[in-house]
Amino acid sequence: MDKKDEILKDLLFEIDDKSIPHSFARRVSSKIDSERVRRERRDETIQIIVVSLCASALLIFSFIYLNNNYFNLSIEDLRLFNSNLGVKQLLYRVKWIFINDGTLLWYILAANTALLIVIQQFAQNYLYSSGKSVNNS
Amino acid sequence: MKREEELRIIELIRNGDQELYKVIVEEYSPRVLSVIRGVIPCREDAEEVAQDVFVKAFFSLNKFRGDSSLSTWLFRIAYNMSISKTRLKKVNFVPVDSAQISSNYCSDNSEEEAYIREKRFELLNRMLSSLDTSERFLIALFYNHEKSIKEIADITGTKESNVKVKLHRIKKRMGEMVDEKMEVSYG
Repeated sequence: MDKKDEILKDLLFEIDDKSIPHSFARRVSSKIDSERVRRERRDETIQIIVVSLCASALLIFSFIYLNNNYFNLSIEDLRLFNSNLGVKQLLYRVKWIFINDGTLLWYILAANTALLIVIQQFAQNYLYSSGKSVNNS
Repeated sequence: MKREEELRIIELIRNGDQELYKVIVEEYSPRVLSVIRGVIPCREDAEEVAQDVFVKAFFSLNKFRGDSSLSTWLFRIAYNMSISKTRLKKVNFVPVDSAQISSNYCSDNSEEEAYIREKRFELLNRMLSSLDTSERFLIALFYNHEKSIKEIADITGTKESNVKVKLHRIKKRMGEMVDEKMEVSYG
């Protein structure tokens, strides 16, 4: 360091403030805690998004598989809006997707499943309320 | 704090002892805040950035390999955060107020001393306002924290030769201003 350096150092020392507020470490700790919570929430959101994406992909592929193998629908049939179809033709295609030789069986299956879910809900509610009344008495 | 002790504390923090991080904060916060204050003159903003530096350092402790000293590593985070903060908020240089930093001064009430002090602050303000953010950081590291060229290059992520050139230019520019005012300041 030459003389000029010494002068500059001397001048800059005058604005070198090393004082720290008392609450500094405490505030850092509380910021760390809130940052940890934020990161946990972010990780959870990422997990939910990844799981949802995987579930959606699985659902889409299973639908494609079911369509191809059980409903006799190919991807080409589902491309309703890619070609220049007339309105009448388009409606016919939509109708055909929902009503064709393969769909009836699946409508019955879906109706049965829905019925089972409804019965299960009723049974659950009934058991829950009767259990509650036994506990209260 | 010795390097071995520092590494031992870091290892304990990594293993989940968050309370020990206070030791690191208490040890390094004055230096980190001081160097940030050289770049961000508003005290509240500087404190905010310094706190964020320690928060970021806490969550990045796993990345600290111990190649450089902990202070160099913390200064590197402080440098990056200060630069992005000033870019984001377009922080302008706020002139140094002599009353604000009287703690570094011996109290001397003579009129002549007060006059010289005013002149010195004028010079300091002129010098600092001629520098950009990274230059102010550089001189704070070099003059106030006595960091070597190699350490400054480590902190700023530039080559040693670049740091040397930058420091030379800053010194020359500031030196010319000092020369102009030398008689008044050190008369």
